[in-house]
Amino acid sequence: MSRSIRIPFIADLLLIDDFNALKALDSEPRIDRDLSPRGPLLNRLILRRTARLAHEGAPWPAFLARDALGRAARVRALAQRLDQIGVDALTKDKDIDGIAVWVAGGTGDREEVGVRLQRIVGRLFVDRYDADAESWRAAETIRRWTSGGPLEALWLSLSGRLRSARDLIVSRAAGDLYCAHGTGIAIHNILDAVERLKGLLADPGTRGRVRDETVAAQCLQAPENLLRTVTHNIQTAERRDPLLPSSLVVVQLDCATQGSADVDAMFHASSWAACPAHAYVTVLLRAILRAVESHRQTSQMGGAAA
Amino acid sequence: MNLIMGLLGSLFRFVNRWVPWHRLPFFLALPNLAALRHDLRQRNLYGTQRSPGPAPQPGVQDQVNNRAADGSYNDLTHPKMGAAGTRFGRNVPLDQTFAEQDDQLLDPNPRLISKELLTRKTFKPVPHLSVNAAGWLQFMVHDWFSHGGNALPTDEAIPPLLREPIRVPIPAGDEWHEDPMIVYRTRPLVEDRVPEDEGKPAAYRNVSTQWWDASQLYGSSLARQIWLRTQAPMIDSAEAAAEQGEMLANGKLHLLPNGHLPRFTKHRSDGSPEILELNGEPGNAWLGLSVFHTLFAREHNHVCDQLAREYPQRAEDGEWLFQKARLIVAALLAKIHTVEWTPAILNTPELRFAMRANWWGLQGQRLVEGFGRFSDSELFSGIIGSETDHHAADYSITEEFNAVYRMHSLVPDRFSLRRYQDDAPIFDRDLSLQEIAGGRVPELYDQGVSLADAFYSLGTEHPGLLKLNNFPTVLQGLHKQAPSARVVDLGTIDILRDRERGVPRYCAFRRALRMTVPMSFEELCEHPEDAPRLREIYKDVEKVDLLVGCAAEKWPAGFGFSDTAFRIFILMASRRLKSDRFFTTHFTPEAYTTFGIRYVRDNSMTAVLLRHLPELAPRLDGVKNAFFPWKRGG
Ligand code: HEM
Ligand code: HEM
Repeated sequence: MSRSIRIPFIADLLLIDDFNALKALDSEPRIDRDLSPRGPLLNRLILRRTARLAHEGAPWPAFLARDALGRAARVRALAQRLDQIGVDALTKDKDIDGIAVWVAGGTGDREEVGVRLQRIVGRLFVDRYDADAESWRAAETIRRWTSGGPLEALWLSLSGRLRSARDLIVSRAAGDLYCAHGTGIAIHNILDAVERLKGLLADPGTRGRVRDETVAAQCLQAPENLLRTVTHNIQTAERRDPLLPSSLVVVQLDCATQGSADVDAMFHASSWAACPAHAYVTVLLRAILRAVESHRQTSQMGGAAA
Repeated sequence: MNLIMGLLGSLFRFVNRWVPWHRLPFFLALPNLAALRHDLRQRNLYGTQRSPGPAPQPGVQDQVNNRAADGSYNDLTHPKMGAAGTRFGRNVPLDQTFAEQDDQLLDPNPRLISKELLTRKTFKPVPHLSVNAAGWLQFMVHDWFSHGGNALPTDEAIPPLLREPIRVPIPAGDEWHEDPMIVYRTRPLVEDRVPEDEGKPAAYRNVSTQWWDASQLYGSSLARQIWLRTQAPMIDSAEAAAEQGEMLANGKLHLLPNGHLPRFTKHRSDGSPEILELNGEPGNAWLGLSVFHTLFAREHNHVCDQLAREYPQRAEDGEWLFQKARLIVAALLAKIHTVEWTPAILNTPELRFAMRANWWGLQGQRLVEGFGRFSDSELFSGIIGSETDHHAADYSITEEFNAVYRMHSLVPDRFSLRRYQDDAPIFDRDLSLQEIAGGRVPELYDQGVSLADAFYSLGTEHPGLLKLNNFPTVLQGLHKQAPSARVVDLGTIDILRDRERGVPRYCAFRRALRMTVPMSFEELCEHPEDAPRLREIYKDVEKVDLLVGCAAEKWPAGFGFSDTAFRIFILMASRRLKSDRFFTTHFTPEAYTTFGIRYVRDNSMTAVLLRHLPELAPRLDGVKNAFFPWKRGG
């Protein structure tokens, strides 16, 4: 169901949580992702959240307009590179092993797993990417900034925490904003998926259903909100008044794909803004599952020997 | 309305943490039920139809005012929705419906569960119902859905891994005739598989029309419908019917001169012939099912006669008579199920009221029948005649619905067939289920068991309670016929099917319906002595199978099945009406005729029984609900 919120000077939003409506809208050429703050108050406040992440005036890659210089080509190149990575290449990674121990119910905590994931994702872009408690906390701050309440956001902004978190993430990424996106924003979705995997494997009622081919569909959830703007007025099926260049479309992708087991949809694969890490994230989860299984086997063998 | 229901939903979710709906006083239980249904409609309907699906073959000219043979064109904008061969949907999010695999599929051993937790030791009856309530339900199930034949290991159209049978190891000391026990898998999607299915949980086809359209009487394809409407001494297939026979010109279904169903020959796997009764939905025949098929085939023919009398200008138009009679009979069946069968099995004041409200709304029977609908609201004036609405997903029956309707424990093992006049036994001993099933059914009629005797005998005995250790022994060693001929344990199969089809286990199932979840076996089991038995087999309460959990839990007072199953029931029972154009926007004289609307209004189970079997009047005298036990004669 789509909802339109229009209050003069205060808000002009169209919220979409139906996947078909979203697909129709996404194929509309006048729908774009130009996120410079504008429009009524609430629109501005929402847009400001993505704008404030910009580094030296450059927005992070998932907040670029459709025709932004080089966007499409860079995303394509990244996808091609990430698509090459297979499960076998990942299973040897020490960090994956560490994560597997936690997933299998062993030692470690969420933060430690976050750091390991950050290192894994960071090294896709920067050879010697260095993740630690500080970089993880910075990623947490980014998450709170993008999805926390207005008071929290105000506090993060006024206290300078946002700026230092952003600067830290970007500097660890050696200025590569794709890396910053992966280690500062996308990382949370991956950690949530790993945590869900842990839950599924811990529950004897669901353990038997988790498989290599299906683990992504069972554990991943799409990002909560994607933003879209409008280049020229358009009439949509979702509301009576046209959408204006000052309107903001909030795509509630998580709601729209909830319960669908549709991994393509979660990565917005049919969109012009499809996620380049689609195949990679799936492979990563499979590698973790495999590591959990081999960890289980060795600990069972150890148990039997004892 | 949405807002009010949403608010009510939040309020009752809070209240239900401490007090379940069925312990609230009547005036609170009803809005609580309405809020539950609203919430379920929004959050527990998921579609799986990713393929284009079968091409519609409606077999009717006026698709607006008649039910298509294959269930197509019910939704005029999505003609394939609910047609035979479209997929089962789901009541739980799809990411929770991946099938159980390998060791988990067999953990704990389903045969052990069947033996230990299902085997009937002493028959536990439902005292307030008659066996006819069980036969009726199977009769309805055969209208709504079937997964069709199993995946035969010899079927090369199916990928090898998916036709490889499931092998269940036989526990020590169990004398099953083979080890491992071979269970054929559910037939997977083959022809209908599309690239979008990749990586998604398996989906299965419903080979019946999914609508409440009496397809158990009329078939789910044009070919079968023609067979049923064709008069010839003995026709063994739809192809033969199309070639040899002639469709009855008066719109009727073919019945033998003695008013029984026509017969056909089926060959057993050893080549020997078996004579069976013909109806719209093949399979699992027994006397309790046959009586309803026979009665409603007669009812169809009676409605054809009445229509010809009411509309003499159409009396020669056999096709028109057939189609109108079909609509009327289907609606009458839906009405009987809603306002008679359901309040019998869920025998509480709330459900009696709620089910009548599904049909007539809060406005009530008298006012709706006397003055028509006062409003468009389904709550106020009933679903019948309201706007069609599919809610969160296109209409289909669901796997979870299928799972909670595996109610085999309703079936008794032994039957005493008696004369309706004086209760005198017809045979010198009770008969086993096997002796009143399959090819034995027409033989019994030929041996002088009348339809009235059969109804009466089943009407004066009780069905089994859907509790632990009450599974019919005969079904634990059921002789199945070709093409999948073998002796099977339906108890083992019932447990396995849910795991195979990715229906969540009991706790996860309840969680997906936002119900509370037991933390221990003690908390789950109504009877404390069951807890250690379940623990020994399952070890962890999260592993308890849906069927077992539903049988072990404490039910609301007056209920004939569990509160867990009931959640699926309240969602789907209304959905079968609310999604169907012929119960909503097209429940009109244009589609049904004025006579038809009146006929549905004025008839009931008892009225149908007494029309065709007036001799049963003394046995039904004073019986409030035709599914309650009847009066014994003699
Ligand atoms: C290694 C981790 C990841 C990286 C480097 C990454 C990178 C990106 C980039 C660069 C884009 C912008 C594409 C464009 O504008 O053409 C994008 C979009 C997207 N990503 Fe990812 N991503 C990652 C993980 C994830 C995860 C775990 C999810 C969760 C399902 C996800 C879901 C999405 C979605 C839905 C979009 C579309 C955004 C839109 O339509 O505006 N990504 N991603
Ligand atoms: C003598 C009586 C009955 C016999 C012989 C019988 C036999 C069977 C058989 C052989 C199956 C298929 C098992 C498989 O999946 O391989 C089945 C399925 C089923 N039966 Fe029965 N049954 C009987 C009565 C009932 C009754 C009274 C109900 C009441 C609701 C019922 C409900 C079901 C359901 C819901 C299924 C699942 C169908 C599907 O998976 O598509 N049955 N039965």
